Amino acid sequence: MIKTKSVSFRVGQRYLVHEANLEARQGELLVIIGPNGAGKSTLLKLLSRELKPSDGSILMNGKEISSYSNKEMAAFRSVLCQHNRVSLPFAAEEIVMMGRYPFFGDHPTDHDYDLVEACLADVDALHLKSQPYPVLSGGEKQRIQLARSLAQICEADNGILLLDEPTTGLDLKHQYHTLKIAKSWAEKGYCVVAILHDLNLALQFADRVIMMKEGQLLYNGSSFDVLTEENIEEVFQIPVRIYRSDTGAHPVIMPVADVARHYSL
Amino acid sequence: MEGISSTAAIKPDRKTYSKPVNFQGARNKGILVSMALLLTVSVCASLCVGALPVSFGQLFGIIADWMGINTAFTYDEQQKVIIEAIRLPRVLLGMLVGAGLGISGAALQGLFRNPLADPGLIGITAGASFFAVLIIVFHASVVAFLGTSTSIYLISIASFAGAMLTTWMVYKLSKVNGKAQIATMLLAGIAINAFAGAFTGLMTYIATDEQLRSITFWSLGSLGGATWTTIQTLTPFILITLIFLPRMGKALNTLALGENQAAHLGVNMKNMKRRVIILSTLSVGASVAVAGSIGFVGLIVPHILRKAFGPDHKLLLPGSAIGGAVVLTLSDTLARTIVAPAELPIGVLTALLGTPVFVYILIKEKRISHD
Repeated sequence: MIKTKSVSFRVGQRYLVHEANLEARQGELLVIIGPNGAGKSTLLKLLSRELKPSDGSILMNGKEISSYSNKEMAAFRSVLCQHNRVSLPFAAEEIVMMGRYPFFGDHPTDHDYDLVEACLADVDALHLKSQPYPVLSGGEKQRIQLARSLAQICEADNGILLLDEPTTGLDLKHQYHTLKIAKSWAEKGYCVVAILHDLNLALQFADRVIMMKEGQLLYNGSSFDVLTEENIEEVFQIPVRIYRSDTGAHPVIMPVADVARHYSL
Repeated sequence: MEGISSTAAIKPDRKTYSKPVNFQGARNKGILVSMALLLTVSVCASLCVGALPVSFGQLFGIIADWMGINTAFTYDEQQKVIIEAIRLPRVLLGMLVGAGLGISGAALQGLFRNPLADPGLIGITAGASFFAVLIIVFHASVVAFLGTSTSIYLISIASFAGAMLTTWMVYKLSKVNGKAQIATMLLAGIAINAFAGAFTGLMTYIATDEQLRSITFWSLGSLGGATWTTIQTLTPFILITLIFLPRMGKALNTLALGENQAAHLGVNMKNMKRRVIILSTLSVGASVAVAGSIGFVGLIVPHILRKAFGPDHKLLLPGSAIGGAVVLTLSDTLARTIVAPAELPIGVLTALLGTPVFVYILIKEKRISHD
């Protein structure tokens, strides 16, 4: 569980995140959305300790995050970053195995190998197992990194998974697949926080949505309460319609038809 | 939409999903054992080759004799003396220096995330030499009251300090926005090489003839100074590195993901950097103190191993230690036989062999960065 108390991050006089109060619970997929430069990544970096808050405090599983050692933290919290360059040609399998590094001494056990295979299978990348990471496509790399994040916390109690734009560079099938994984891990009892750009994915999968703009958490609530036509237009500055079908399938968020003319694009 | 969200499509294929076998550990062990065997053969060969040839049988007889076993192999007393007093310390020195340079090269390349981070190229050796030369020239005033027996330790410690200082400086200089930049790193190396070179030159200017000879020895590198005393001095420095540096394997692997990711995986970056720098400069410094600057071993050996067995530092670190020992043992054998009865400085030889490899890596790096 994550709880922040008026967390701010300031560069000079400019607040990238301003007095953010949020709570992310176990068993819940929390999605953060917002336009470019809204401070989403900064917020996630604060949660992952990559950045230190200028003010306020962040609690994870009841303790201030700065009081954990890196090793203690790694035991229950994993992070999928937006950019994943690897400077050495490791095999995909070894990259995923790195998620297990905090848990074994010099050599992985059979059990670690089992978990790595299971996580690779989970992200539909078992066939990439022995491929060198640098030759993989962007989307394949992303899935391998997701598998690594999963391998790290797959046996943790009160595990926390932080995902910074996990669907970037993925094809349609794997975008859905990644969100399904995030959702199913939340249902397993993990606390999952993800930054997304696709509002439809957020609407379909999120248990809760936080909408950010200019460093502020503007709206925070269930996906249907937050992702309304009014809120989206206010935050993203583009008029949208939400279409509901009669068959009970998910509503679809679409920019209004004449938006091109509206903004003279 | 129902079709897309179905899990059927992502179930693992039965054929490719096999029960994993823990074979990484076994494979690594196999590779290391084979390399150790190769080292044993090189050491025996090196002990046998020289102005006074010793056959494998005679060598076996001498070794058995040390252990108090009588064998059918007969040998001259002279052969035994040469092995004991001259060749064995020299071969041991080669092994220690080679192992130290090999493992340090591998570790530094992991730390800088760059295959070109060789102790010689980035100025560490030059820094160590400079400090060593300082001690030689001011030997009289510095060492006189400490007693001459401490002088070799003093030189070792001074070159260790020099090595550490330069590594720290290069590391700080080469980091731009938290990332070690290759160009800056090599430029920093050039700057430090030039600076240390200038000061070393200045020292030669004020040095006496005898000191000058010692300084020349430093700049070329040689295992000729091998005695049991040098072995005694060097062993603790190298052993500490060999024992503790291989434990950094996992941490260096995660560093390939970037510093942030390594931290997310539980690595204490500050601690880890400090340890890698201290441990690798410990053996580079001590090696320079007793054998002068021997270049390219720390560059070639890890490079060949990465090519052959992959980038895993769990294997690369101990492998580079053994590989470095093999390369230096063989190079030294070559250096002292190729122009016999004279002797080629080993630093010259490793540079001759190493430069083509270095150029090859540069060309390959260039091609990769163009992609």
